[in-house]
Amino acid sequence: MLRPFTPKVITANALLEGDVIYQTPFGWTRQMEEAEVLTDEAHADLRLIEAQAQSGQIVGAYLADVTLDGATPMPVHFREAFRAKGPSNYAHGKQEQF
Amino acid sequence: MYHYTDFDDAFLSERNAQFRAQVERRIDGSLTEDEFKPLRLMNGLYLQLHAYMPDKWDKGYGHFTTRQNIQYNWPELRDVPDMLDALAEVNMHAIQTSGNTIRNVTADHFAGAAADEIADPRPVAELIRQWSTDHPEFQFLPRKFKVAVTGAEADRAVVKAHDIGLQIVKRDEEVGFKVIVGGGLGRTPMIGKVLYDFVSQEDLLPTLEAIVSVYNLLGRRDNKYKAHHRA
Repeated sequence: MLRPFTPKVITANALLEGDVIYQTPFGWTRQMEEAEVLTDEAHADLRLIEAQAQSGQIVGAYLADVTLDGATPMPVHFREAFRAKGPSNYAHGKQEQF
Repeated sequence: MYHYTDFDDAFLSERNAQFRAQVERRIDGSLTEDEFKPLRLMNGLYLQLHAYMPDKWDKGYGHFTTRQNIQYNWPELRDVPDMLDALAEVNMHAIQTSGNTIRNVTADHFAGAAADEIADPRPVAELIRQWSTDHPEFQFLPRKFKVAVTGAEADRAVVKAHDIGLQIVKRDEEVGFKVIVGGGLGRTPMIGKVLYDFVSQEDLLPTLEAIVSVYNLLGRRDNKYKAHHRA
């Protein structure tokens, strides 16, 4: 029996600013909630190849596991939770908004 | 404190100009990330910079590391060559602050003022810093490599937790070094072992060269977690 495919998003860092970014159907976003959720393995691999070809804009693209809260992707690994929230410092970066 | 010579100024200025061109080539796509990464690491991008810099190029704060470096996490790639030029103006650089190189040499925080020290370890640290900076043979070691020096019996520089630890000692009236190797913290903490009880001052650099050469030749490169000198 085939192993079920864990949903994924494509994440990377912006080349110039270094920010954590996520692929959407139309480009890139800095918010994980807006990322394109990939539920088919072959499609995910294809989208990753497309992402990796954009080396003039991004660095280090890879597939990251997510769980779904409704349709919204949520990080599985704590590394991705840290990346999604920015540095562990409430006064700066994305965490200023929390 | 060591002041840059004309040679140092010219070297750093040339190096920064090279890095500026490398950044431009990365941005315009003529260098891939794989080609650029070793260049940015050997220039300390993963930058460890200077106090006034965060207001201008970062978010107004920095991160002090255990080794008392300061890191800025938010600079934009385009700004980094300007930051390195500004550092050079105050006799500082970020060379060999990352990558698998010999890192900056540390000493006792009471160096020069401690009653129990045989000699001030700082000139020795500076000598090793000059020897190791841009040493052509040691730019791509299996893993990062750290050296510490203490002038005292009390190990305030934690020399036993460095790849090479040096303790200034006296044999009869001659000042030399006890050489300790293979210590480290991190994922596989280990106390260093004494390699030589006494090495004379003139033999110090050849001894260091020999130790790092053996490590460079025989250290593992296939597994990052077993690549340290102590492994």
